[in-house]
Amino acid sequence: MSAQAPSVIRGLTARSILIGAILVIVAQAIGDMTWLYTSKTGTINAFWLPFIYIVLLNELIGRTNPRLRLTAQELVCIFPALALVNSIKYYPKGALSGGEALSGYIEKTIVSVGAGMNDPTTGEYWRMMTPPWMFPKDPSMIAAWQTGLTPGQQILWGEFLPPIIYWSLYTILMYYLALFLGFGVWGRRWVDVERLIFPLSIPMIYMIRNASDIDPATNKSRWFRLQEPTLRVFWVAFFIGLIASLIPVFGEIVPPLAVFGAFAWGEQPILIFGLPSIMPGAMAKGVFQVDQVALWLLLPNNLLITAVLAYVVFGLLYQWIGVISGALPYNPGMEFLWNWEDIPANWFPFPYRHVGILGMMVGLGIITLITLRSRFVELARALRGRSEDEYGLSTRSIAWFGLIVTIAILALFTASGVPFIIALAMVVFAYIYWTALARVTATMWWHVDDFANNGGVGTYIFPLGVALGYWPATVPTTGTTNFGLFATGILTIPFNNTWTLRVNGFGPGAAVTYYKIARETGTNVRDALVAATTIIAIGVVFGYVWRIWLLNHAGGLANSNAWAWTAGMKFGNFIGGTAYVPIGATDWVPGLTYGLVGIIIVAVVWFLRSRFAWFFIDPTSLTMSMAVGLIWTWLSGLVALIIKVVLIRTIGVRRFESYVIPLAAGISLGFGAPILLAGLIEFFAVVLPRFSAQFVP
Amino acid sequence: MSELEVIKLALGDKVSNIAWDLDGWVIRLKGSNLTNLKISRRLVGISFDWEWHFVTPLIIHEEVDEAGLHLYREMKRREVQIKRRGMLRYSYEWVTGELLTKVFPEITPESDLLVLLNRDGTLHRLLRRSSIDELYVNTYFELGVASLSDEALRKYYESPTMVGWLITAIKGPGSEWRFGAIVKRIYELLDYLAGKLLNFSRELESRLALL
Repeated sequence: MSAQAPSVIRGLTARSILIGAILVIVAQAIGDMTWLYTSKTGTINAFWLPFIYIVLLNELIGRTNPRLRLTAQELVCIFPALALVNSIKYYPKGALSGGEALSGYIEKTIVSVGAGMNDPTTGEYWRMMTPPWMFPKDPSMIAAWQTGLTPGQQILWGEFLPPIIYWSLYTILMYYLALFLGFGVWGRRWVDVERLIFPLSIPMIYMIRNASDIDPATNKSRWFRLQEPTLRVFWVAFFIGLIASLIPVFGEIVPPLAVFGAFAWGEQPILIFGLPSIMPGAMAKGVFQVDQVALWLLLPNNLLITAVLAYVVFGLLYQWIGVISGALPYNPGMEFLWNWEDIPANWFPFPYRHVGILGMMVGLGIITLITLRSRFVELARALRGRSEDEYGLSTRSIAWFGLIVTIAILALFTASGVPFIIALAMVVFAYIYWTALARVTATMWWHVDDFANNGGVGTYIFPLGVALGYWPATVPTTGTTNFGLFATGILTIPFNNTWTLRVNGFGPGAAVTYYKIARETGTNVRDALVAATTIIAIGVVFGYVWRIWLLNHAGGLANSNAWAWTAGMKFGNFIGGTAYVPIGATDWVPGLTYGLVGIIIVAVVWFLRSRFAWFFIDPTSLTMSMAVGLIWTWLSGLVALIIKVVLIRTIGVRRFESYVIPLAAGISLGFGAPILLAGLIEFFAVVLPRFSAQFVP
Repeated sequence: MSELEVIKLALGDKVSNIAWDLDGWVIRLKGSNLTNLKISRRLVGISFDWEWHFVTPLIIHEEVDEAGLHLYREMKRREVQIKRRGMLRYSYEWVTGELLTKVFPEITPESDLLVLLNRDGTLHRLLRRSSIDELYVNTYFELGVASLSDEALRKYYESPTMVGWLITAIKGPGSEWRFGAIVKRIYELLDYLAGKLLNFSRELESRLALL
């Protein structure tokens, strides 16, 4: 696709800025309301407008008046408005995941702290410890957070102003750090030198490039020219995707089949019911995702085989042999649980999920950063004046941007009460872990697991504070009174990665995917960056203000889908007790040991893969598989592998190569297209009525 | 074991010398119908899959006189390639070369080489054994960036500097972990095919001399 990329064109225009700004406010307003009051919390939970409709609308407007048609580059510059609100799942198919988007950050910051202050058990502790810049101290505002305003009561905006500023800054800085790393550190190398595939970017790039190819004679987009074989393949695939969307319609929308627990428009768990009778203990669950299968047709075989092989070795053989030999206990039904539940992936003697999260991901991040060391040197030189223009973006600007953002994060954390060395460690781990997250996303998919609340804090950050004497090794279960630890506990989540960050619409993986989209659509990279930063700033501040208004005026935590439980998650991470991994660990030593094992594994696999052609195990694929407890990778990997082999064997590699991109893009976009209809129905039939029923003026 | 070591092991005592050239290994061979064989690894389109290219020139005359030019143009009419069928087990058929029909539409293809190759049971067995994805037998032309264009091909056709064949075999994705066996089998296929082509070219040359 690189060879066909047009030259760099400006996308930041007065109208694209205006549309982007309006769109992010409208999207967050409707999206956050949907998030709070939907009955389909796993599926219709943000702003339900796939980007394909924006592109189609643009074509309709353009046919009426060509001057009003937005260019490809302008479309790229307004895209952040919807990506921010809808998560990374929006990129390939337009799917929504409010908890993994801006709303998710709001949940894990101000909502979480406000929920803690209302907690019947720990509320007093939270009210004592929470500073006024994290949440208002006024008891009436704390109470209204839980149940909403009483008639005649008003929001004390003055009380909320410091938390709005504080959490907006925290959230914006997280987004900006991801943008710096995506645009300044990872993007150029991964696109130009390593040529990573960026599967999530393919549908968007294909759609925008084709839709913006206008025939001057007819003033119509060539995207609809069915005479052209590849476009015909795209539209046939689009309709195949539409038909496949019956899977989420029946699996997530229509109640009788929704029992299988699918969510996020097509993340469909498949249970192999017969397997436990043959191989007790072996993992009998896999997630099937149509768009993932379609886009994984683009992946090299060895990545797919690695994902499948990891399942065979760890999910099947290790768990089965472990159970029948007595090395692992047998719990009936353990074969069908999720990766975050009580499964052998989280148990002694070989907790492969923790090996993946604490070791392999950390190792992958370190190795990747080492391979990028010359990029840091380039940026350092640019700071001193040797700047280069990279597709419109000067290396000096991005280097200063990164430096300022990094220093601002350190300053914010330190000013919040986090000891400076700990703040530094948090930033270092963010650089490492975010790099691994982005690499996995750019190579394969968004499925990896959380660092902070899966032992990352307990294994690496908490012991550092103990060693430096910042806090004691044992935390009282009633809650620490050490403010340094309290602030650290509050700020590590989501900064040091929970799902809200890793799958965010502008988290690490998404930021670099957006860079790829900008590059492949010939968009001036500086324009894309400025558009994203502007939209993020507007969206975040509006998001906090809007959420405060919504919760206060329409039912509070108790009468909405707000994640009050995230207070417990923060409390469990070293504010109110100690939590270690794997299950059963009583201190950080096992976590550190398995982390080291993981780092060694990924280093050895990386070395072998880069040294020997025959060594087909891919370190990124293996890391992703293990870190996400296998469930999210093996089934889609196996299906993609089979389809790919069959297609190559039947139509040959050359034709496969010509058609695979329109095929994958078409299936993904078609698969996500009905979200609009489902969203409209849910919004008008459920969300608005629930909101109005609870509305207190 | 590195790629190079796998190649050495697979070809055993046939290897006289190996050197790196631009994008692949050039293996000078001994006791073989092939003089040298270039093995290179290339990316398949957008995907990060690798495919392996095995290219070998088969030079009949290193200088081109009038008879040589005639021979070269007659050989051009006989350019062939394989057509693969099947999914789990492939079957192969030799057909007229695509390059010939596309770049030289004015030349009438001749089918004697094609018939000869299609009737050869051993060759078919070697094809199936190697499960090759693509195999082209073209008249020799100089490799280089410019020679990839149709115009350069036509130019070479007008005034060739050497008379011979250029055989290109391509093995698609999924070969890495049995690379050694693949190298060996493709070598055996190319060696046998080269023998057939050499005999055919000599016989063609004799026929042309009699005219």
